[in-house]
Amino acid sequence: MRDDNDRIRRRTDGEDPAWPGEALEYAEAMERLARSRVAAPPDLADRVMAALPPEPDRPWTHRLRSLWPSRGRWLAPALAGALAALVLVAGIGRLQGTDDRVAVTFEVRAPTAQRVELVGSFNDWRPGEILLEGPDATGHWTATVKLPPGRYEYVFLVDGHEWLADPRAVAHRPDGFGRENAVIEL
Amino acid sequence: MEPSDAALVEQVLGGRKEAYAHLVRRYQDTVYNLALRWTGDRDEADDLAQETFVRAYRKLRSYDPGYSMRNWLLAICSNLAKNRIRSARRRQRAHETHAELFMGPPDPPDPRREALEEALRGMPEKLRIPLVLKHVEGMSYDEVAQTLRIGLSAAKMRVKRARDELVRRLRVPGGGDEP
Repeated sequence: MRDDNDRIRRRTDGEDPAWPGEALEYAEAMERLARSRVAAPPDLADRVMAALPPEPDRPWTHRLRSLWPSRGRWLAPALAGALAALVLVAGIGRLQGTDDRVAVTFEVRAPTAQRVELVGSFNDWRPGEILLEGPDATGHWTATVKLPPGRYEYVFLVDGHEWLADPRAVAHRPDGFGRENAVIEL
Repeated sequence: MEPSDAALVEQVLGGRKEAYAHLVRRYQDTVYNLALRWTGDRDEADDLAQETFVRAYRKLRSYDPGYSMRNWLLAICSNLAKNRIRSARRRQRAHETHAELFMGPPDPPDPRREALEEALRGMPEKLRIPLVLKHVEGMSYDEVAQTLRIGLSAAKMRVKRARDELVRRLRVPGGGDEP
């Protein structure tokens, strides 16, 4: 294999121009491959910078360490333990009220449909989990779903075979299959 | 003189967020090209490249300056791409329709380029990506293995098989899927 690579390299460097047929074909294919690079979109860096969070994530071990006084002996562990217990008790007490998920109502008009489902990146595109209710008198189907804040892509699955991107979504993006997904930011 | 990758990382971690733009510009073509080879679609590649840089920024505190920044970014890109493909395949099965996973660049510059793109598109990513890392990015087999989290012998074997496959497909344009 090393021989192959050396020969290809020699060929691409112009050191070994007289190759027999098949090896030459080989080297030319690698040459073409090496030249197949294209430039990234010119605004990529700007878009990346605009999408960055305020600062890189802190590993949880760093966060824990930063809470620990460097010269503490018994006091620091005791305080940390008390704090942890307090947080735990408070957390359990407020468990019902600490849900930061956002209730979102998805709606689509499909007056002749028999069944409408919602699939998206929030449920790993699994059909059969979120069924919309309807149709109402105006042909609309709706479902309200609680989702953590974030960016999601989704589509409606009508009668098990028709994929419909929400026409009222604020943004759409290609799904890689020649169709589009609707995008929602929460 | 251009600052080193490690110096730029240090600046970013020290609070100079704008230094990250230098790193992005330095590696954007490399990451974008690999993303394009994973997805086969320019829009998807653009999105994947952007996600790669954002993910890398978030994980920047865990970056080991002794490790190549390029290889680190390409490993992140590959992991994200694998997750996307897994999710897309699950979705493809749900579609129960034939879907074209690899759509070619919209404006191939010449027939030879088009033939190359077609040959690459027809290859499984298991072969295509090691080939690109080795022969486009110029990685060593060790680096290919590390980036894709596969064994050294697997990396060598896949590159070898990919080269044979590429030549075979270029030799028979449009008929690459026949045995």
